[in-house]
Amino acid sequence: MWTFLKKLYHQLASPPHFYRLSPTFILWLAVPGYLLILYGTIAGLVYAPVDIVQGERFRMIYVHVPAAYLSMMAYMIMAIAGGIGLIWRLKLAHAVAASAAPIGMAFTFLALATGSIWGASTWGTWWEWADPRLMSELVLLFLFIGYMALRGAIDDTTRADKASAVLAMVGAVNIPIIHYSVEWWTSLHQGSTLLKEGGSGMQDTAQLYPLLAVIFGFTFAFGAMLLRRARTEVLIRERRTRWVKELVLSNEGDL
Amino acid sequence: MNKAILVGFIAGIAFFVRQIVKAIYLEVPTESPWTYISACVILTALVVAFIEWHARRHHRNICRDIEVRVKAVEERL
Repeated sequence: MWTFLKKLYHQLASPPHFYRLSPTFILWLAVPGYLLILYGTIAGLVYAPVDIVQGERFRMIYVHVPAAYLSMMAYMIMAIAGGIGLIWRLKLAHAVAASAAPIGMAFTFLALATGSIWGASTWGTWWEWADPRLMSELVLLFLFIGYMALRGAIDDTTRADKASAVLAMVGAVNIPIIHYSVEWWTSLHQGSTLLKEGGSGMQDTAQLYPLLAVIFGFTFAFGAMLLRRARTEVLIRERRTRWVKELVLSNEGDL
Repeated sequence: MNKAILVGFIAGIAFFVRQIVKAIYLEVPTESPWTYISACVILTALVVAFIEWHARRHHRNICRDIEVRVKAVEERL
């Protein structure tokens, strides 16, 4: 088992192997991912019982929570991949970090926008500047934008990789702040739904299972999106190498 | 196929804008939770579709660019 994992790690760390293997992984992640999202959305929006406190409005949880969770996960992947790239000088790790940024930014925007819509219907306000959860999530959006701007501003890829990896690792301090902000400070935002002491905040399984399905579904779909972007990033970085040239000449336009 | 995706995308954006405008101008927000729920779901679908479409288009453009360069070098040799 360990030998197999070690072999897989070395194979995936090599750009040509990664490029050839990744379409299989993309398919295996995307299909169950989108099926789970479909199931979770239908079960959550149509069949899940109405919440006692929020009524029908609680159904926004099925899009808001996965988006918020993925925004943080994307940042952690970006920071960890950046760290691996800095320490072990793995080229593929920097490609993964660079690919995670635009997806993470999109999900952070989604978390803020759906949260704002939910806030408008329950709190009666679209935005609250003094709320720690909202502000820390907004900082996360700026960190993603800053990361991408920094990468775009440096022409040399190696220097851009190093500088952006440092920024990603320093910015990771914001992740626990986002998660614990509702516990550390007074907030309009409700407490954690799933990661609560003494079990989940959702007691009804008809509400909980669709939520878990969309969370896992979005995670798989995120994996597929990340691999798809990392593939392109690898191609850009390796465009002058022999294997890319051979690939182009052998595939006749179908890369 | 691309035209159908584009039409669907524009229709989705138009519906999302309609739902948001409706939500903003609702005098009593508690009366219509489905306006907000549908706005959230449509926005999520649009963003996910955009991420997928952009990734595919970017990959296609890069492939085309590399192909043109490699073939130009080959022809010169």
